[in-house]
Amino acid sequence: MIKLVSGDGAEFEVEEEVAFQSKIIKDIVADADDVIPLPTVSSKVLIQVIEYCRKHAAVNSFPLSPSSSAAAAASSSSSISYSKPVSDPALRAWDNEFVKLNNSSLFDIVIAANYLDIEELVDLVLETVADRIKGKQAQEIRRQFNIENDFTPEEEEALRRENSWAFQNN
Amino acid sequence: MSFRSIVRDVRDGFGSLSRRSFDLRLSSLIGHRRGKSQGSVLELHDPCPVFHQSRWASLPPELLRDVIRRLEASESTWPSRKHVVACAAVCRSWREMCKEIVRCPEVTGKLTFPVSLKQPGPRDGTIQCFIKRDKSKLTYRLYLCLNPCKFPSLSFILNFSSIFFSLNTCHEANNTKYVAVSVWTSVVVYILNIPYKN
Repeated sequence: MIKLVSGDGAEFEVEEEVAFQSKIIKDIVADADDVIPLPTVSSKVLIQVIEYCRKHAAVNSFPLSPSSSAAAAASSSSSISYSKPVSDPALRAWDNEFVKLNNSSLFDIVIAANYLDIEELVDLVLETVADRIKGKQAQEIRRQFNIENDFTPEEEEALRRENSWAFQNN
Repeated sequence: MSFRSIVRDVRDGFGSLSRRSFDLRLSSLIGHRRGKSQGSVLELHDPCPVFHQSRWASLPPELLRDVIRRLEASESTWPSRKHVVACAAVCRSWREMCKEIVRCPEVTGKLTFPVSLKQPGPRDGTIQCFIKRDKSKLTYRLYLCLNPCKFPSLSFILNFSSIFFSLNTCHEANNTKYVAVSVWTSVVVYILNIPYKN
């Protein structure tokens, strides 16, 4: 068992295969003891991240047969893909439920996942963010992600003029 | 000083303190980049400039780049290209990232920003663009010549057609005309009529 300590001092004991979903933790455990302080991760976020790792560790411990993973690779080769597709449909459905969170929680998770180097989780969140951006205009994106408009009025007017034709039928 | 006001002072002080520590925490995290697998979790990086914007505006560049790349790669033709155009109008940091990722049409064969249509290129470039004024009809005519010999594929032409198609549907109500007039043997010419007053 490995003990993770969140920034606010909460301790979580997790199995190695769960903690090793994070490459950073895997590297640290190789040459350190098994209590790992994670000062920048809050307990709330760490709980969610551990939940994800636990699920994925359980599924990944039963590797797919070569034929089914080849089929999954073939089905995804049509477009440029940044994320390794999660080939297990049940796991993919679970992932889709997992990311049904508000944008603020997603931000905390992606920062933590990036910090802990859990590549699949970073991919999952960023793909979700990209999907939430699609089809929206700049103003809606700003509102949804609480981003301040830092263009000057003149710059914004120029942008609006430049892009106006493209968004007229929205 | 009343006890209540002391409590308030302490609380306010505490509030600003925790906000500061949050900023510090965020900026130390920004130091971590995707793909980095070495190094200690405890290691503190040089703090990046603290952004006063929301947290999403200060998403670590590697992560923002990833998001915009996904959008960039998701569609190669209009009208879906407008996802990237919308991102480029969100805020300065997002705009910079979009400009970094979206290559010019001559490199990619993709038209993304409407302004690409108006950018003149070198005379021997693959895209030649020139504007003529038609006084009798009070319109500008934007000529865009593409030299298919220099394009590796027809995708550019198709993409260009799709951008014109979306222009056309957008402007139908305004009676603005966008016409692909002629296909010569080596050059495709599109003419875009833009009314003066617009």
